[in-house]
Amino acid sequence: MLAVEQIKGDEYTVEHDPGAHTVTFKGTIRLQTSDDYLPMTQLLQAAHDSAAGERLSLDFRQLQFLNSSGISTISKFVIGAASRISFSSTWWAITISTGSRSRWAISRSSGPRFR
Amino acid sequence: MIDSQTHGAWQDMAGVTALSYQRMTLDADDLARFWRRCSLSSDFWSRYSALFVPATVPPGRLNRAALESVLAYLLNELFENCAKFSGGPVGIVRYQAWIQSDSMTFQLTNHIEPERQPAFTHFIRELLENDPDELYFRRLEENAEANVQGSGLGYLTLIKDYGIRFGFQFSAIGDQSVAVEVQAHVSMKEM
Repeated sequence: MLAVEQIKGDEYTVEHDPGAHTVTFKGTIRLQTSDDYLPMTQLLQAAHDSAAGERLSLDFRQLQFLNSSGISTISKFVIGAASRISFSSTWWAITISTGSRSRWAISRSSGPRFR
Repeated sequence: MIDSQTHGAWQDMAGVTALSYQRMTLDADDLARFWRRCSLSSDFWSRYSALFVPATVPPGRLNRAALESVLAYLLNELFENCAKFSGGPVGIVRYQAWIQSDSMTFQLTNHIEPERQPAFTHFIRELLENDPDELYFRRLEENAEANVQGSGLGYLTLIKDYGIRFGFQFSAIGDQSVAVEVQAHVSMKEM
């Protein structure tokens, strides 16, 4: 049984469940600098490595708030991960919509956005 | 005569009749020293402002909760920018808001050293003159390759997902400081 790794702040937690290949984001994340976001980047990279080719899910359903530095951090990870994976017919695109508190998505799309 | 330059949807608010007007003055160093002061300020003003929306609204208008969510993101980005990008001898950060029946205008003022104005002007012109969706994805890609501070992702999200219109004004204060005023116009209509 693999242990769940967790980052916990005053208003948020980010949890990696290696068994389920899922990283779950909860609460309000408004950190200051990319250094402050480093533990999250490291957790995401470790989660990606431990998924070892399996699908890794990022679950934002319980995330209420993410500032633009956080959007930047997560999208940077997704673009980096996509560049290490080869897709046969689709390209990756990222939509992190902040229009309402429950609307978050990082999805694969047919548009040639990223290589 | 103050030497000033405006960009985008800048509006002179001096003669505007508002249902309500709010203002607050802070110190940029205080915001930067305890980062939580940015979110504390934005949470306070987003709630305060959202209470101007009636408990029930006709179809097509933003309800109170939706507006509060928009404002919490908007104001947090603007307060964070003031904390991140202030410099020079003037440390004042000023918050102002004009509440009108169909829109709300928020204005954050901070101060920078004059030598930083050209780069900021360039940044603003790119933001205002490009397709926001295209620029958003371009900035995501650039950001993935290098750690860019001030990528504009916050502004771009606000423009493309929330329909917020931005105006900017630079005013020289003596020869040591430039006041940067950022105006955000938020429509009360649903996108």
